[in-house]
Amino acid sequence: MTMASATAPPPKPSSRPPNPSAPSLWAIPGPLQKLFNHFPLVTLDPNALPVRSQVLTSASDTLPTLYVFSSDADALNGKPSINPACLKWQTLLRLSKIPFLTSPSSNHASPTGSLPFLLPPRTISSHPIPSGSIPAYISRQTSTTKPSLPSLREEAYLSLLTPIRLAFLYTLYLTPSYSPLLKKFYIDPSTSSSVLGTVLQSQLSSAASGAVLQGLGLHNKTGPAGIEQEELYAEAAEALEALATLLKESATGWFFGREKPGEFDAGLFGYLHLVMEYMDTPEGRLGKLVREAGGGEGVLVGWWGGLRGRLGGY
Amino acid sequence: MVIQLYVWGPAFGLPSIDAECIAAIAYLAQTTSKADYQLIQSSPSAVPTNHLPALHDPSTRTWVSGYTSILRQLQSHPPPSFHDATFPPPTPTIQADSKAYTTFLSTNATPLIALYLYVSSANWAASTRPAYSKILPMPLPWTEPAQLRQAMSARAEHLGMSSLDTDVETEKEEQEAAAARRAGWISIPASLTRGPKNVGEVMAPEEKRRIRLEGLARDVLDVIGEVEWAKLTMGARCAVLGWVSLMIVDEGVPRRWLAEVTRGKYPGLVEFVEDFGRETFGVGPRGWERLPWVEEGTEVQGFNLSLSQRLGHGVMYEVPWIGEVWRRWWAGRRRREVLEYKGIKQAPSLDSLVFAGLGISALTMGAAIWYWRTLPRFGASIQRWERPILTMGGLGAAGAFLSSVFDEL
Repeated sequence: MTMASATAPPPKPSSRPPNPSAPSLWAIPGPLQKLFNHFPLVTLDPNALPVRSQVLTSASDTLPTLYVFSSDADALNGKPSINPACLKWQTLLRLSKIPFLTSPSSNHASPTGSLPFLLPPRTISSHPIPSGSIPAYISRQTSTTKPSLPSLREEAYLSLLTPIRLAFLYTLYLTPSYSPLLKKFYIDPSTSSSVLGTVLQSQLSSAASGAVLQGLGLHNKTGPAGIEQEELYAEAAEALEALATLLKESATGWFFGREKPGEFDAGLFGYLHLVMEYMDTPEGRLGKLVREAGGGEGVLVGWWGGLRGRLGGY
Repeated sequence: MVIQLYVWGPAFGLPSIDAECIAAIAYLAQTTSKADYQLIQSSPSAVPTNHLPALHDPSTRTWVSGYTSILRQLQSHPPPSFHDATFPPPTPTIQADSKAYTTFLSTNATPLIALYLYVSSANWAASTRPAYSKILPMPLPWTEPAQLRQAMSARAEHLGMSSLDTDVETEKEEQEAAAARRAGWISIPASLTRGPKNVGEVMAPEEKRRIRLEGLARDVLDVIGEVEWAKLTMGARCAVLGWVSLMIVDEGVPRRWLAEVTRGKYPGLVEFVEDFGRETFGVGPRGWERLPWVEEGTEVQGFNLSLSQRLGHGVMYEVPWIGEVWRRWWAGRRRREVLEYKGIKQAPSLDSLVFAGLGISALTMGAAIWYWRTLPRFGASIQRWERPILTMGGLGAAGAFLSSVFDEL
C-alpha cells in the first residue's frame, strides 16, 4: 500500500488562476508556471512486486504463513524445509490438514530470534506465533481438543533426539565432504558473494562446533578437534536403535501407539527426512545408521516412507 | 594391565563432584573386581581427552571419555573379571528404555545441577567453589573452577535463570548506573533513594524464583521419579545414582531448593538411590574410600603433564582472543597424541612450521617497529648541529681587526 502511494502520479501543480489584483509574494512567475506545467512528461506504471511477494500478499490475507529456512522456489511449492526444527513444525501443520503458505526467511526476521514462526492470516491478526505455540494454534484451528501433554515415557524418549541432533550437526556443518550441501542449504539463499559466503560458512561451522561441544559437556570454545567423532556416531546409533525398538512395539506404526502421527513423529521426521534425502551417501554415516537401526529390518526407513506418503508431495 | 579411570575428586560426601564420574565409578564398582582397575583423582587438564571421566585402557591403548562411551568401551573390551548381569540386556525394550532414561538424565538433569551448584552465586561461593579448591592440587584452583563454571552455566542457559548469578546482576546494575551518570542524568545519591526495603528486595534470588525453579525440577523429576530403575540395565541404574545423588546434596549448601524438592516430593527415588549407593560403595557414610584409589602421578602412562604446565594452559585459556586459538590448537594436539598412541597414523604435524612462521613474523615486526621509531618524525625539517670552526672572524671586532692585520701580513 505504501508502494502504491509512492508511485502514484504526483498531483498536478495547482491551476488556480493567479489573482492579478493582489500578486502574492509566493506566487510563481508566469513563465516558470508555464514551464512547470509540462511536467511530469510521462508517468510510468508502478513496478510489479516480486513473484514471491505477490503470491504471499494475495493469499496471506486468508492463509497463515510459516516462515522457514528454504529456497524461494521450494517455499513457493511448499517443499520441505532444510532445517530440522522448521521441518518439524511444517510437518505437524501439514499433518493437521491446515492449509498454509511457506516463505523463506532467516533468523533475523523472527521476533523470537529463531525460525520457524507462524504469521496468522492478515485479516485475523498480525501477531506472530512462535514455534512453541503452534500445537495450541492447530488445536484452535481444527477445533480438536489439545493433544494431551506428552507422557513421561515420551519425554524420556524425546531426549534421544539430542544425540541424533549432535551427529546431524557434526555431519552437515563439520564434515568437509558435506560443505557443498551446507553451501546450498544456508549460504546460497543468503548471499552470492564468495567472500561473504566463506565468512558465513566459517561462522556457521564454529557455531555448530560450539553447540556440539556444549551438548557433550565440554567448553564450547574448545574447537572441533575436541569432538570425538566415533563416539558421537556410536551414541547416535544407540539412540536410533532405541527408537527403532520403540517403533516395533507400537501396533499402529506410529510412535507410542498413536492412531495418527503426532509431535514426536514430526520431530524425528525433521532429522530423518533430511538425512535420508540428502545425506544418505557413501561418505555419510548417518544414512547407514538409520537403515541399520532395529536389526537391519529398515524399521525407521519404513516409517519414514509411510509418513512421507501421508504428507503427500514431499 | 589394569584399566585406569580418571575422575573428579570426592566432595559432598560423594565419591566425586561430577555426576558422570559418580556413575562411572559406580559402574566399575558394580561390575569389575578391585584388582582390575584404578581410580585416579584428576582434572580435565591432565587427561588427553580434556574431559572427565576418562578411561585409559592400556591393553587396547585407548582413551575414551564420557559416561556412555566408557560403558561402551568396558562392554566391548571387558577386563578379565568384568561381569554385568544385565549385559547383554534381557530384552530390546529394557535396552531401549535404559538408553532413553540415561540420555534423559544427561540432557535434562545436568542443567538442573548446573543451576543448583554452579549458576547460583550463593551455592557456588559457599560450597562448590571450596569443594573444588579442596580436590585440586594447589595452583590449579586459580584457573580450572572458573572455566568449569562457564561451561556448566552454558548448559543451563536455555532455562533462563541467569538471575541466580547475583554477581552478574549487580555488575549489570552498576554498569547501567554508570552509563546513566555518563549520559548526564541527574543521579540522586544511593543513600537518599533507598527507602524501606520491600519484600522482594529482601528475598534471595532463589526464593523469588522458587516456584519456577520447582517447576523446572519437577519437569525432570516427574519423569525419572516413576521409573522402576531396578528393572533397567546396570548402566542406567548407575546413571541415576550419579545424577540424583548430586541433586540431593544439602550439607553446607545455603540455598537447598533442589534437594528440598527431590527429598520432599520423590521419596521413592531418593530411597532407591540411597539403597543402591550403599549396595555399590559399601555401608558407611564414606564407603567409597575403600575402592582402589591411586595417587595421581604414580600411575604409568605417557601423557603426564606437570602442574606448572597445567597451570600454564589454564592461564593461556583465559587470555582474550589468543585463548580461543590456543584452546583449539591444544585440543588438536592432544587428539593427535591419543590417535598416535592408539597406532593410527597421522599426517605430519604442521606445528613446528606454524611456530617458525609466527617467530619469523614476530621478529620482522619487531625489527620494523624499531626501524620506524628511529626515523625522524614525518614532515619535520632535519636540523643538523655542527661544531663551528673557530676562525678569527668569530671573535667580534677584535677578530676583524686581527684578521685584517693577518691578511696584510
